[in-house]
Amino acid sequence: MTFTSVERRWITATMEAFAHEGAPGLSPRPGEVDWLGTVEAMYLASNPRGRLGVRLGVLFAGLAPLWTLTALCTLPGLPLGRRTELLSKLLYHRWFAVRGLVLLLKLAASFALLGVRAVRDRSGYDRAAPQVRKRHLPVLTRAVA
Amino acid sequence: MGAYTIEDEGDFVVVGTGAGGATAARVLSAAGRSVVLLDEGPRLKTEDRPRALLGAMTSAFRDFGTTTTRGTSPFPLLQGRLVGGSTAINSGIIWRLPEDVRREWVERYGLSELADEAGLARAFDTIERELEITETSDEVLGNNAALMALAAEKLKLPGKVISRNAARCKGTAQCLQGCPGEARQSMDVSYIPRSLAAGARLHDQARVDRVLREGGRAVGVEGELVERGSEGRSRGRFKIRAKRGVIVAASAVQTPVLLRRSGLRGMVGERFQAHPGAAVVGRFKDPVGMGFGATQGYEVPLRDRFMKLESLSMPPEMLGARLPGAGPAWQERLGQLDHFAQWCVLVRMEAHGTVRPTLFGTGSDAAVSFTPTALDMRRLREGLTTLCRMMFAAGALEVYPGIAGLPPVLKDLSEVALVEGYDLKARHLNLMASHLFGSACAGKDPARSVVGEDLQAHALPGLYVMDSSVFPTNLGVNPQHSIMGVVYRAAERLAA
Repeated sequence: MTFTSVERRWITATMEAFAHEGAPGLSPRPGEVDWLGTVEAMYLASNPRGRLGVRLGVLFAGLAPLWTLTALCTLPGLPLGRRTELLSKLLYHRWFAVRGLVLLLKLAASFALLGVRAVRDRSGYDRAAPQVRKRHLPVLTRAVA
Repeated sequence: MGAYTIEDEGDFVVVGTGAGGATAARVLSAAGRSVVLLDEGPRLKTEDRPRALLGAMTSAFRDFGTTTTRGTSPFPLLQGRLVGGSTAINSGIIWRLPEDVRREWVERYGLSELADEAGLARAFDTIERELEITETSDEVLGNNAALMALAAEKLKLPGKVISRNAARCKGTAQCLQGCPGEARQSMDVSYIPRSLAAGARLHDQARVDRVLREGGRAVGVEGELVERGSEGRSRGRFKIRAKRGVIVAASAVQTPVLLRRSGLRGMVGERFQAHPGAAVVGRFKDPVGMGFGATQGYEVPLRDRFMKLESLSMPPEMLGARLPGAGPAWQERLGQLDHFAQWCVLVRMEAHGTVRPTLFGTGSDAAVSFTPTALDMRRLREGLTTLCRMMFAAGALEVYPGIAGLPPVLKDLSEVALVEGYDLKARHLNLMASHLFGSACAGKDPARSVVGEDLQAHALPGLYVMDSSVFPTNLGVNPQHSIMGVVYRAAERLAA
């Protein structure tokens, strides 16, 4: 197995905090997204430094309540809303390493979520038709120089 | 069975099937030379390439894009690892070697033959005809590019529609996953099949470990047949002998690694250069529909300011990760994923770095050191500032500059001053680079270069380097066409 049982709990807790089920906007339905499988696929396709980065990111996120002095527990021990609040702060943390590694986990969440065809369809990414675009956004001039 | 699962021989063995290797193979095989092509990555049929980004990247990107620079603010170097190399994942943007760069190569580096104006023009003409180079048409420009054109016009910036090797583009915005209709003439659907039809042979998933020497001359290569993915499990070893020459065209990262593993030193791996960049996203009231249009359709080349701005449509998985926030705040934005535009700035950086084989790694594992200078960062800041202004000029409701230490969301034009006045460092950005140069550079002086004007290694006759490693400087424009033009001419001389 690629990840330990502890890491798997931390990954799931992190991913679910990035994308809440039933939240307004784009939300996953129960069982719709394979969070662990996505992180595992990314991990296996990465080079040794990339793999280290994934593991460190999971470690940073999993232990974040402790090292940020937020609570005496690991990430799964926090209620969902507080998990999200903490991850949001880590995404803008002053240390590059923390920001970068938590962003890597957000990237995994985005890959997992929008890699599901039904979720992608709900996002509207592919929705616009050419006629609509032309009416709203005129086709523009060619080279200025 | 002997020590090798595969043994083969040709006039030339070509390591790498990207812009350089495929062009060399196309010219040499057309001239009747026997050519054996090798690539570390798999040969993927277009219909077998995954459309979802996770599968697309695991199957076609080197190490899922986790090859990064070293140092305190590492950033990824995006490269294809499949037959066709990075041409099979890029947007097919075509620029001839800029005249100011060509003149610098001649006047400062003495490369009057390599960078001969008329010779290069003839090569570019041929390639442009064969790869159906044309400007992106209005029908497939897409609104991401159209909005950039609108902004350039309003701010009186010198924008233009991008020329690409995709005349029959249907605007599926899937360059990265492999053009579904094979409109983009990447090497895997153009020069590689053409070379094979002319008699060349291709061994994929074949990672070259070293160049073989005999009597002070390069006579072939050997390496491992690897399974897919970065596990690199061996399926056996191979040895390919070359009667006339070994051509290494494995990219500005992997070429110097192979050369160093083969015992070459001196300037090998030195003078590495790049065009690192970053992106800005804007949210619009009306749908943009990034899912339709050329992946990259419009650009603002600012050569005198050492930067180039480009529209850049990304698959939803990547766009999503670029939007600010987590949880419901993020999900609100994800629910309007058709309302975003994304543009990027690439900087022709003055910084030089190094490329080395990793200490404990094998094969093509590379350690790349590269740190942007203060001037590079000022240019990057100027580019990001311009992009933010352009977004508001095009009507964006909010702009995401992606700069740590600044508000993640800019609400109006006045807030762009925050970007303009910021003491920007590399650690504040999520940089990335795919235009890589100069780690085995060409020149007259063996003490200051790796290959001569004929692209043959000074230190090892019979060994040729034919990719962007040989460029003595970076370009400030997308490098594919320049690589092909330079290699086309060198291969013609070799075939004669």
